[in-house]
Amino acid sequence: MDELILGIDLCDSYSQISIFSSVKNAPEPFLMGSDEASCLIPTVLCKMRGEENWLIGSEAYRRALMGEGTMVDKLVKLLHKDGSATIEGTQYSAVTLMGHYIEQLLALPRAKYGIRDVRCVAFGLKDLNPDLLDRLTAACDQVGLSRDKIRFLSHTECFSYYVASQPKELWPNMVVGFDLTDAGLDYFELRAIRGRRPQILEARREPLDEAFDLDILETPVGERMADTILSNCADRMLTKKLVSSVFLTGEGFTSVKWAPDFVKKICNKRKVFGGQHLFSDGACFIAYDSTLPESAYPYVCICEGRLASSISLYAVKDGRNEQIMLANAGSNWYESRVSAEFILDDVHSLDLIITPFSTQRVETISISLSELPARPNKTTRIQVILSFASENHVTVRIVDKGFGELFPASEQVIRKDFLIS
Amino acid sequence: MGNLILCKTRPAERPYYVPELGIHLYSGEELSYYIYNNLLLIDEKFPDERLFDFLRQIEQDKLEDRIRRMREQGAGLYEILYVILQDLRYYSSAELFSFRKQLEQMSLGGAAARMKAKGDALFSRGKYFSALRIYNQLLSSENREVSGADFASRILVSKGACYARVEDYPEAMRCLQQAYLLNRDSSLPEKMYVLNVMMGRDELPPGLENIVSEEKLEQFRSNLQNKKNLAQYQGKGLEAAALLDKEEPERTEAYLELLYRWKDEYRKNQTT
Repeated sequence: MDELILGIDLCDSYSQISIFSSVKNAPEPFLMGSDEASCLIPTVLCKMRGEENWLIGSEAYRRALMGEGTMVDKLVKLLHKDGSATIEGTQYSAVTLMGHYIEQLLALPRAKYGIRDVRCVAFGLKDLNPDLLDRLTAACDQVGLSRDKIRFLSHTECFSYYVASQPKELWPNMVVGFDLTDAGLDYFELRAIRGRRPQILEARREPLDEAFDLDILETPVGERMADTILSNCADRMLTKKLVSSVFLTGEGFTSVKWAPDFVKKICNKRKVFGGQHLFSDGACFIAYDSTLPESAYPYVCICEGRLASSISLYAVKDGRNEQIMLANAGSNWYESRVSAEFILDDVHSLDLIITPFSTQRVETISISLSELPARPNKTTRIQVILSFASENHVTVRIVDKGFGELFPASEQVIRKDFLIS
Repeated sequence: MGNLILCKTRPAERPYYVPELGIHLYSGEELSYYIYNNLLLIDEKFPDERLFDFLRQIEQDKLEDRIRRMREQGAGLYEILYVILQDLRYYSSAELFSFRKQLEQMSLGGAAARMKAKGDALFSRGKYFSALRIYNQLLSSENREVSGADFASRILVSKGACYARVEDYPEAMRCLQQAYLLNRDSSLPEKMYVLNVMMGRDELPPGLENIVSEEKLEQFRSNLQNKKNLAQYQGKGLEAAALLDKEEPERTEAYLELLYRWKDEYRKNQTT
């Protein structure tokens, strides 16, 4: 291993790091101590008083409590809001703070493995908000992680790839997951649709209303109450479903001794796995897969963060009229920004073909080009830029690029936003 | 129903310069368009190292090799142009067929006629000095076609038109007088009269008084007036008229801007 391949689960309360081990050919968690729970690194940053020295995790808490520095927490939320924090009279933007946090986070595996270079980092996030991702990209840029080395994935994607990396005996039928954290209780569901080539992995996340504060687990009464809540939840979510395996994760499931009834219910004819670093491992699997010339996963993953429809158009390529794919179903929306140039040959509208992967029922979105400057036929070049604000929200921008110096570009832009299923 | 054509290559970093038009070409599509629409401007020197360098940049190495081989085998310019359009695939089969017809027509004409056509094409694009160079080359050549009175006269008239466009009216008059001496073309006296008017003399040039009657002269005057009237609603006149609706001081600013643009266009056209 001469370059690090990392999966980082970045949440507001805790972060986790998984490092891809070329020996095990699987991710291994970064542990701060000897027990598994030590993989949870509090997402806090502390600037040491009077020094340009930044600390993260439990050490940051400790030093801040001792009054040796100033601590900032909720870093993901701060980045989402594009906020700032003033420390020792200096205002630090959320991007700068996140940059310091990521730098210190990367320093942990760098020190442990003695490897400085990073090949790929995949961040697992609860929500893929475009503004948050742009700021996170800027923060990564600040610490020398270029755009081609980073990937952003939803927890649902991380869950899907984690499960897909397990032996197939564990997921002949549906696989579910529960993520219990201070931020809430999330339910995940994954099923493989095997009748098609390529196979489809369809996954979804559902934030559950049954969430509770983890502090209630500190008393026996609270434990019993939490067990009852989760048992009801298991009844509701798992009834009439053929579930092969259940995965439990999040700091709430560091131990399951407090939830005997819930465990009994979910263990009924199912395999149950508990543990941390599920999302960071899933992210790490994807990070490793990104470094391969060809993906090791012969699936199209349809879930939060991934496009459920493909977007294409017809154009003449090498003299033949062909369907040109602009965005593939199953690709990560944040990475699906695409740009292509076309020349208009007696064309007055741009017809985009939307094909949902599940139904193949084609829909056409037509965008009028009548606003473009009038020119002789075949002398208008347009740049079609397709970008996404989420897996459903598509933005198409058509830019008039003229025809070289023969017909100079007006750079006029036609924009259309639409939703896809 | 039309089509979109996918552009495959990035614009060339070192574009192909077309001195006749004073523009650069950045892509295979632009090169195709230039060849298809400016056949008259292209001569035997076209397939040169500059073109090969450009073809390499737009990832057309095979086409470059093909043209080099064709040149070694003595292929003609038109054959090479056709192969370029065919390989770049910007034009459809129907359009290539029509281009082939155009090439066949062109091959029928003599070298001097093609050169004159090139001069005329430059003139129509506002490249008056470039056109003048072509006409002068033709007149000083020893081509048999040029020695014919009619053809030489037509070249002189075109040359005169170039001088008139660059407002060198005395030189334009000399060209028309020479042309008239060669073939006594009956359309020339009117042109010469107009030139005289442009030089501030509302009369026939010397030597034409006995040839053009008073009635004919009146007709020339009337025609000129009609053209002047019509010019207000065409081309540059129309562009200027469109600014009349503006309020001051925007109107003056717009006129100055228009004037600057015209001057700029003129300068660009004459520098090549």
